[in-house]
Amino acid sequence: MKFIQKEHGNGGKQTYELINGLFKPIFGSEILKRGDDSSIFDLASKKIGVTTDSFVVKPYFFKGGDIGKLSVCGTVNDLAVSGLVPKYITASFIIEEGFPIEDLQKIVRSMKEYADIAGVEIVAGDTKVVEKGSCDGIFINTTGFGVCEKEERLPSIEKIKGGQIVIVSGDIGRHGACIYSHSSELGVEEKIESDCAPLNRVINELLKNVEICYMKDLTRGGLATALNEIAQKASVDIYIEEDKVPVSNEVKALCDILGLDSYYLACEGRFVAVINKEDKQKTLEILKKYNKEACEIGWIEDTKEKRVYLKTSFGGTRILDMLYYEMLPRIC
Amino acid sequence: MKRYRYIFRGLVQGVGFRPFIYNLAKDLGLVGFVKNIGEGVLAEFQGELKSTAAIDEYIEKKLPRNAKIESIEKYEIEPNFDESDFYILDSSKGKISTIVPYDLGLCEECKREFYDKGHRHFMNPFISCINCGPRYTMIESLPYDRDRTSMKEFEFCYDCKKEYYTPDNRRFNAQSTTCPICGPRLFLYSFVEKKHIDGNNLELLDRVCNEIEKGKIIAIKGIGGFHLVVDPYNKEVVERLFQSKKREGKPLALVCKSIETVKKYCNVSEAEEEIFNSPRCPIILFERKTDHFLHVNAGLHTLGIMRAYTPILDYILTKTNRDLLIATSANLSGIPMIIDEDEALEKLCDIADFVLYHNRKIVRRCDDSVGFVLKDKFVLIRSGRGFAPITFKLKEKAVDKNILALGGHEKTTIALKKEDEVILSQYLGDLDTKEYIDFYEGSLIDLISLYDFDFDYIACDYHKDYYTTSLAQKIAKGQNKEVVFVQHHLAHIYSCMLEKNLQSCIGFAFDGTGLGLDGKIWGSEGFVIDGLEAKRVFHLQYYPLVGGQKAIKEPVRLAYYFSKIISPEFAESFFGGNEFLHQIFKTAQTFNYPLTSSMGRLFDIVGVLLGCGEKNSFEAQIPMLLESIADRNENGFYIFLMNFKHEIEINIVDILQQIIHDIKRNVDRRIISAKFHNTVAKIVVEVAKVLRENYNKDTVVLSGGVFQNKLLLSKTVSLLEEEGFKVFFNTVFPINDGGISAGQVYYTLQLLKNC
Ligand SMILES: [Fe+3]
Ligand SMILES: [Mg+2]
Ligand SMILES: [Zn+2]
Ligand SMILES: [Zn+2]
Repeated sequence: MKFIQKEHGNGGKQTYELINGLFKPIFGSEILKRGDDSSIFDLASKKIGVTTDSFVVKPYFFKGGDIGKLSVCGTVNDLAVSGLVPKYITASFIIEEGFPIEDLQKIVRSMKEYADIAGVEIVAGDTKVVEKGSCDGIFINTTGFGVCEKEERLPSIEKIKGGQIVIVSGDIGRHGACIYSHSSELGVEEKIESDCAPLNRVINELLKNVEICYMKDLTRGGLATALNEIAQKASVDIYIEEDKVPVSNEVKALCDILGLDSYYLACEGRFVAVINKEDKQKTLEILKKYNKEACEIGWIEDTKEKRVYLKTSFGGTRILDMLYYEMLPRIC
Repeated sequence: MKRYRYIFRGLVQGVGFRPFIYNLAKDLGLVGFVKNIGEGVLAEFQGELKSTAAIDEYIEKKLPRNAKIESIEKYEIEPNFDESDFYILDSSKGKISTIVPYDLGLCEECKREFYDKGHRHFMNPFISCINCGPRYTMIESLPYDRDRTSMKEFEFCYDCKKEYYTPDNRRFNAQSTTCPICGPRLFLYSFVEKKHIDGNNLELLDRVCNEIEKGKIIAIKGIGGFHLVVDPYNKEVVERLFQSKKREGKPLALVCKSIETVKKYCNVSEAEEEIFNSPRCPIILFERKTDHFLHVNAGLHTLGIMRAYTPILDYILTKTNRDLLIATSANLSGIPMIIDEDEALEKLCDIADFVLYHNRKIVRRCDDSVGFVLKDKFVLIRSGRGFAPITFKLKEKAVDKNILALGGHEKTTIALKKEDEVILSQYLGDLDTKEYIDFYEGSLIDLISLYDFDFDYIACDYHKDYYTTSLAQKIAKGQNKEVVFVQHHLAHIYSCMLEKNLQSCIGFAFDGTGLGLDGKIWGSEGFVIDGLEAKRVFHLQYYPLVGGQKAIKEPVRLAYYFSKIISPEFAESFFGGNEFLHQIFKTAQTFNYPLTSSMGRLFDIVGVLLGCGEKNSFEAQIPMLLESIADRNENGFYIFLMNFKHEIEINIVDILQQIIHDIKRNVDRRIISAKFHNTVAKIVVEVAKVLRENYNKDTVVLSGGVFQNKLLLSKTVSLLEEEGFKVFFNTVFPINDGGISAGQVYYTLQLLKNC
């Protein structure tokens, strides 16, 4: 087995071999193949969007994906929920000396696979190799460019108002639960599959057919954090019904064991959408083609406390805060 | 001819103080006047006086029983020759700093009149006088006058007016005075018939008694909220009450007419009897001596009993011929006690069969107060009706800045430091739900306006995820005030230091959870404190909170984890190969559970090991059972090692090992429980001895929720006193998180003194 050496990062012959022998053939992008200092491409649009994100997940191979897939999906999804069509992405790698080249190959192939599925082209990249111990295996940064096809259809926070409903595109907490289930000896024999997936197709179909007032993908901090951000930015209150939020049994079981709250578990292929009541049926029709678990989970109120409330099954309205300390109990 | 002006401060309004002064003047043959002012009571006496001696002596000898004078300001002024009599004048609203009176339970005289067929107050369900009746819960604003209370709706009839204005009458100037002719009236709604029942007050009361005898659940509007009243001798209805309230077995409060009833079932000390009969009428946790009522008190060794503090409760007890009734506050899980009839009629349909209410508004929600007596002192667990608002006079007026303290997250209270007083609100509940947060925020606004309060500093907990902490930051930002963050366990200690006016001490704060300054979950903290300087000197060695947040409700997770570490075969036989627990155990190897030094969890673990249950259906259920089973005569304890690191640390594994060893040897669990309690007490003493050596301090303060355990508290106090320590525990503010806000105030005071 071959491993990444310090020399792979020194800009010399071995770097050249790595780029031309590994990255370029897999990514296969015409723009990339030119090997110019900058990639030049055409984005025929009045408005373009750009987003960037770094990925440091451990383990880098997990059930349902790997760090490569994650780095493409994460950036594609950020563009998609903003109402943009993802077109191009760049990829930078920071690799620890001694990293298996075979693993790198797998990761890069996976990036290519999901770039193709999402319909984006990888147009620029960079690789740095750092000394053993300076980073943990591999870090990937991706930057994405998307175009706006119909400006008037762009979701925006200003469109949110009382009476609208909140929809989630699938069951929540899978990615976070997946990563936890991978920590060895976590007691769970079956690993949980991550929900990591590109969302641009489903979102594109939604945007063509219904008016989406606002969208947000669920990432770190999960559903609770995403909803809190929306409530804050839109100055509204959001009510969620506990019974309606879809959580798979395996995620529930893991949360039970670890004493975690599924509302705060990360997702990597789910989003919430705020829509007008009358669009509910059509929205759900489209969403359910992609994920049967998609459903309405709550509603918006104009009360302006900027809080997220959880209507629990046994009375009382719990506050679903944005948390400062992820796992610290408040109970005395 | 001399004239003297007196200004009385303290608990001098709503307690018959002005009539007392009037009678004083009459008896001593003086002219002048008395009136309520914002900051207390102002009186001027004029007559053939050489000095104030006669007046002062009269005051000292005949002060009304519920009045409490904090200070008297007096000086001679110019005589006024226009007066020919002594007058009671209308209030003038000045600056407000007087003590707001708390609600007073039914007095003997009123009770007698209530049952006296010939008396005009016969069967008056709202009978009250200057010595009894609602106060805090009916005051809308200060000063305390009838037109600023919810009694203002009810215009006096001729007789009431006469009583109210007759100086030697017990209802002279008693704002709660009323009668069936002019006062509030009763209404009875039946959920079964879905209609109001016709009838006068007495007929409705009799119907209620009849229904209670038949095993029905009646919601009754009282002083600070609604009760659910049922017959404790009817096990079926008690079961139904548990089911419908979703209380999961939480002990229910009992009410009775006299201490004689309590003595039938419980051991009663003189101090307990005194508090029971006092107008405060808290729920007192008495030690049970018989096996009665195990179905209402969750099998604990205590019964929570209060005196019938309203004529209605007293009447129902009499008429139904029950020595005790269950009177538990009408609250659904996660929702504060109901205080309003509309809400009662809307929300109690699945719980109660009838709602008995009246049309006097409850201005302020006040749950029944709860506490226990230790060494003649009353230890508050919940400050509510009869105590709230707690007004505490600062011994020294060192700082002129005002402070608002928002408390913690559970059992919250709000504290105001205004001039030289600290005022503590009633119990405001656990802030996990919108409903409690609404109550909390409403109370904050209420207190600020009631006390006309303006503050310079706002204090809160150090835990950023407490609702109160984010509220403090929000208010501070909006009003440009400074926030003071106070670590939770320090606040516990400072709450007691405030009461006892201490500047330095050795402090032990034992509870379930509070965020520590190192980001870990503290809960068994020892400090050496000098003013603002607080050094952490002791804690249980950190252990992982295996099973995460759920370990608090389900301590069986932790119990299994430690059993398995200590003795796998014991764990196997005790927990019978529980696969789920085993999975959790395995997670502990790799998953980063938060680390804790919680003493509360240790009591949980020992409780599980001694068969007190696996889950806490209500707070501290398992530790309370653990306390209940302990053999009071056992003096043995387990050996522990003090590890001298940065702080003194004790490894709980060592203690648990010996407990498991005892269990394996089939030692009686009552003995093991007692030995465990003794061990914790002994730990405090041994650590305190080391600290006394090193820091030259011999004052020890005990605070925090774990010390609600009376057995532990009394053992610890006794052992410490035997070793010559001066020991203090909370006797003014609640010993649990209800005292946190008071501690935050005192910490802030120390901070301000230093700068
Ligand atoms: Fe506490
Ligand atoms: Mg992102
Ligand atoms: Zn009375
Ligand atoms: Zn009357």
